[in-house]
Amino acid sequence: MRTTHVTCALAAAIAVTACWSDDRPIQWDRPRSVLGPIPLKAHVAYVDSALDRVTLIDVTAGAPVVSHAAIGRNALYAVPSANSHQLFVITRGEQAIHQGEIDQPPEFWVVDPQHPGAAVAYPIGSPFDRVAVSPDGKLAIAYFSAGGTDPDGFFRNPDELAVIDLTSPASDTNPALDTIRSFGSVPEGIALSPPMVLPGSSDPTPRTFAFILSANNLTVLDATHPDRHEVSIRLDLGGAPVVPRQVVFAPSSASAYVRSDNARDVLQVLLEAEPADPTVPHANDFRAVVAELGAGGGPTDIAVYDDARGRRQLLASTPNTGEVVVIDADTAQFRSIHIADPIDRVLVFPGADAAPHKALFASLHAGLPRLYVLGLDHLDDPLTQPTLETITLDKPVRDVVAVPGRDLAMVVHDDARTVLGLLDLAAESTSPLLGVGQLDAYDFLPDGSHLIGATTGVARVGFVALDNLHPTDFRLDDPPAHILATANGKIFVDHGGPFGHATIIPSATATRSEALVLSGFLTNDLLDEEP
Amino acid sequence: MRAVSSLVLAAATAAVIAPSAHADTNRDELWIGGGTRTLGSAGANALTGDNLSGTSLGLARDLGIAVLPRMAVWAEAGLTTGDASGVMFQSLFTEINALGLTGGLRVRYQLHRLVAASARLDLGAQRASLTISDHAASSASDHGWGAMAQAGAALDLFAVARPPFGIGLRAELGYVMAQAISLTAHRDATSDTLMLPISEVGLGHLDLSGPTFALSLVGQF
Repeated sequence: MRTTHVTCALAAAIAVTACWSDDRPIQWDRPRSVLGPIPLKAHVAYVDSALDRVTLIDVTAGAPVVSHAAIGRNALYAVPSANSHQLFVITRGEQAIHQGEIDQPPEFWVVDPQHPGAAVAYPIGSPFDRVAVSPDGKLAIAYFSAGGTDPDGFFRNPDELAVIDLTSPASDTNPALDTIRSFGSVPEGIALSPPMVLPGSSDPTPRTFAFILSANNLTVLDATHPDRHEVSIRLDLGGAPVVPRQVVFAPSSASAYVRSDNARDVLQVLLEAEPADPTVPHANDFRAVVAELGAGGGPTDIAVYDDARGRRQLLASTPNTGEVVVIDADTAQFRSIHIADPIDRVLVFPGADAAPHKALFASLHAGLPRLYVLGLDHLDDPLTQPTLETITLDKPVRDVVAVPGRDLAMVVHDDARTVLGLLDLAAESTSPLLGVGQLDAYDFLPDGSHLIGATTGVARVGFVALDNLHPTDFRLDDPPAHILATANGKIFVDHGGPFGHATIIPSATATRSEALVLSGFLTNDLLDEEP
Repeated sequence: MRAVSSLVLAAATAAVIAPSAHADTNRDELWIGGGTRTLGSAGANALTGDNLSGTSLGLARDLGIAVLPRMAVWAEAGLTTGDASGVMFQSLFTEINALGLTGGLRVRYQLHRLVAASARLDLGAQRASLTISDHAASSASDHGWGAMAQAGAALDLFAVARPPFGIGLRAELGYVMAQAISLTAHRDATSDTLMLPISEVGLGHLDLSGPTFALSLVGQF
């Protein structure tokens, strides 16, 4: 009897224990990827694909403030607005296959760091993985990258676009889904114009045009009226595919300049008003007039600037003709300047809002130890001889980076970024910069006062004061993974890791006691999260 | 903690002043066993899908208060441990450890010479510690204390129950109500160099409440 009691009790205990389990929400088993750090105006953002949230670190005050913005499932891509005031995120959504999953469509999210609790979502219909945003921040176009990222879908239309009016809430017509005509290629990039008024148009409203770049094809879409037909421009010449790479806009003349790989010339696309055909539904009211500028030789790089009179100028390098060309974007008049080297990098100085007065040309692919400086101040005067100076260096040039707002450029002499120089365009002299290793991450302070650099595995941040080239360094507690300067001049050093670990240095001259390590921001309130 | 101390003191005082109601039974008890606690809070679910499993041990004394025939009131003090591990986001490894110290009363009813049913209510404190690590061996950890209360109903089956020594098995179902403990993931740093000022952001609150099941070996003397 006693044995029976004990046996029954043991069996009951084992049965209870075996059934003693609790269902853990499936969300905690999802894979996690973190996008970022992404610099915004006063914040640094990280997008967490598992916690479905954007972590925002406000670095304005002395003590950083961490906040969160909830977004949709499976973040794919994030990009800041042109003015860095907003963050745009595409989420893939989810299909409810297992218990605890939800059906959620792909969405485009607008996150305002000042109001993180009020992220705005636009259902975009397809799992696009790229976004182009207009310079005024009022329109965005979501599209597929060339490879696409949707292994779960059944069909995928790589020529589909979602045109999103960011000034209006989501509706049946916003976003507008559109499929552009294809001639066998898929979009490789989209450039959105600043607001432009078509000359001669009855509609005086400024509108945004999307230039959709694909191999052998350039498509122009009136993004303000996405329901209207697009215009396709064939670029192929019968040989190697012509791939558009750069678009520069001249909004005052409603035109754009396009540089393409394997093209004969810089292409000018002038948009002109044309009455819409009333017999064709959704007909557009413009036409694209295409012209080759006659620079010739296959342009390898272009740069744009507004001169002292506010006229938009275009600089193009055409190594096949041994020239660089200065083009008045409004009139398409151009002037050629002979440079025998195969120039493939064009920079203007200073690069901020002020009218630049010098241009720098380099031959990066050829690795030539020469740079050219062109004075821009009187180029529009045909009677003035262009002032082109040659700077000969003792090492090949592999990269050139403009210092923001300054007449300075950082010159990289090797692929590993271990041998650097600083070029002063005013004095046309270079100074070597010697580091402890390769420059894996670097940035410039927004005012151009300092170069900041870091090397993977070395727990230090290096500073170079660009006024006098005085180098200093700052010892960190841990090696850096990313480094960036925020708009308010603070230095944000991300150390990587799953918990969130960063060092915030208030200025380039700050001491260690003034800096702060912020830890755990990526897992903030993790235990209080309801899936 | 003050409430727990008062309860234990009252029970001890009662045990001293009350006349013995069961002169033919053992009046002291030791138990040791194992148990499991189902974790159902959001914070615990984030960290693990496992139950908190561990050992429990304690001692009790019959207070000699005869409330009803065949019923006795025992004062008891116990210690429970538990740990659970899990994986978050397929990349973060978690480990929870808990230590509970409790004291309280158990009301016991003798169903049979060898079978007793009991119910208990304990109060105490719990220490919870958490470690999170990843493949790259970076880890963070923290611990904290919080109040806890535990209630349960048990069935005792004795092989021998007569003085001077009895031995049996106890199966108990119960519930632990634990205070959510605020945790912060402190990075594990081994360097002895001077470090920068650090600001650590909180992980949130870990609530280890949940239903329990325990199986113990009971010895009475």
